[in-house]
Amino acid sequence: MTDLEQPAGKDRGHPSRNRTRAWRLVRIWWGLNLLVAGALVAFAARSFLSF
Amino acid sequence: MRGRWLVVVYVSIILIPLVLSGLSDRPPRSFRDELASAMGMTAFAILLAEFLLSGRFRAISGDVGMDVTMRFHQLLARSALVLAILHPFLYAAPFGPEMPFDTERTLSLAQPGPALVAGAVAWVLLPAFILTSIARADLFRRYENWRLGHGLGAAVIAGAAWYHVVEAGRYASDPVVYWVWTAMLLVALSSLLFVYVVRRLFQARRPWRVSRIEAAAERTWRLDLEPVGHEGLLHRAGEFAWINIGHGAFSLSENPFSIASAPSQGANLSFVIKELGDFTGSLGSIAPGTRAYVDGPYGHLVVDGHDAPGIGLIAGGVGIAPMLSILRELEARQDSRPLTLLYGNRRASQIVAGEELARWAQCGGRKLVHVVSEPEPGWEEETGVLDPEMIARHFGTPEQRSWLYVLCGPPQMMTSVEKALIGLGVDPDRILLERFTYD
Repeated sequence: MTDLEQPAGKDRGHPSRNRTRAWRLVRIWWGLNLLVAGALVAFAARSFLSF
Repeated sequence: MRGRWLVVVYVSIILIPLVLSGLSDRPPRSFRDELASAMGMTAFAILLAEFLLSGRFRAISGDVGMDVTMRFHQLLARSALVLAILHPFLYAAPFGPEMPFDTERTLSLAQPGPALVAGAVAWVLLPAFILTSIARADLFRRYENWRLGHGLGAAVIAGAAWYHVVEAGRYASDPVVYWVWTAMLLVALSSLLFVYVVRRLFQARRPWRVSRIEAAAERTWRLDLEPVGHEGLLHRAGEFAWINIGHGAFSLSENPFSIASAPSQGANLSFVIKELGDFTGSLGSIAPGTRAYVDGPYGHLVVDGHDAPGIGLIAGGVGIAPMLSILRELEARQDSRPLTLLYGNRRASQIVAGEELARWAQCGGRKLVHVVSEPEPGWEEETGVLDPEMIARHFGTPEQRSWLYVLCGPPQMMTSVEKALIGLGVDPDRILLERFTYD
């Protein structure tokens, strides 16, 4: 199997790297984390924010 | 597009308890106390939603892929872990007995004993549970043992966390919030019951039988299953199924394999399986007639519904299995679009269905390229690995940028080929790939 693999790090810095499926997935995850963090802060601060 | 809607639905589910709690008329406490509560609630909501991200529900993983679903499951478990770990440390209010005059519970964290114990149990088990899952390959010799523990452990943690939330949680005293938590727990536990009991009962009534087992190439087997007393499996070319051979319908001993036969070829299912693990290593000892069960189909390596002027199939090793299904189905439909199959192996002896592929390639518009990294003397086709140069050589024309590409093979190969195709200007949405390892 390893004969079909690329040497580790060969593609590091490749401009197409951040458009791959795996990277898009990680970006969505971080987006979700930020959204949840925003919701948590809004919940905790709702008395100050008056809603 | 459907994936985006799934994200919206997911966010709605995990934030529903928080929103309902915020809408309750409880007077707010300090920022820290509210943040701590919110973290605990969100961690629990994420944990419950994890049950539906097990990859076994086609409505969820059918379009985005089982591997994407599983990876989300893993990543979101990390998010839940961070929130759950921080949850008890953020409270500013002191722990103490419930005070009769503090009916809104703003002055202390009055924790009934059993509820506190339940929370502590969930809080201790959750990190252990997630860490052992991350290290499962090193800790568990048999995948089935880990899987059983994972299902049972998740149910125990969810049950303990539910008890903690509804008994100790300030907002769960609101009946609406209480019933939302309870409904979410029931849905989560029902999903386990559905996957491990209801669906197995259904499979037990639809058994299969091994009709053929033979060597297909070096350390690679062809396995055929025929339905016993039913019409078979409705599937699309490129999909895969979990198959259980020689065990009871409720056994956890099952493995995912791509279906190599085309739907138009009839009810029998054909698989191409390489000897890689404990089950696949024993394939040669399976006798025709052995009882089998099939759970599927799953996967999204499906060209149906994609309007592309041409198709590029790139397979490494046993990744040829779904490609065979796609090729056979397209041929049966007399699909006339240009089609190129790039098929990499270490040695020529590992090529599966070589004669069939050679016949297939004789029609116009079709191109078959064998790539071998350890060629024998006399080998006349491509030599090397499926690297960016190789991809550019065969898929580098401007017309091929708008083709649809299907990738299947070792994870590193798929990553490399995906980057190479994107580098050539192919839209990432036109690249279909699915991994069977998720870490």
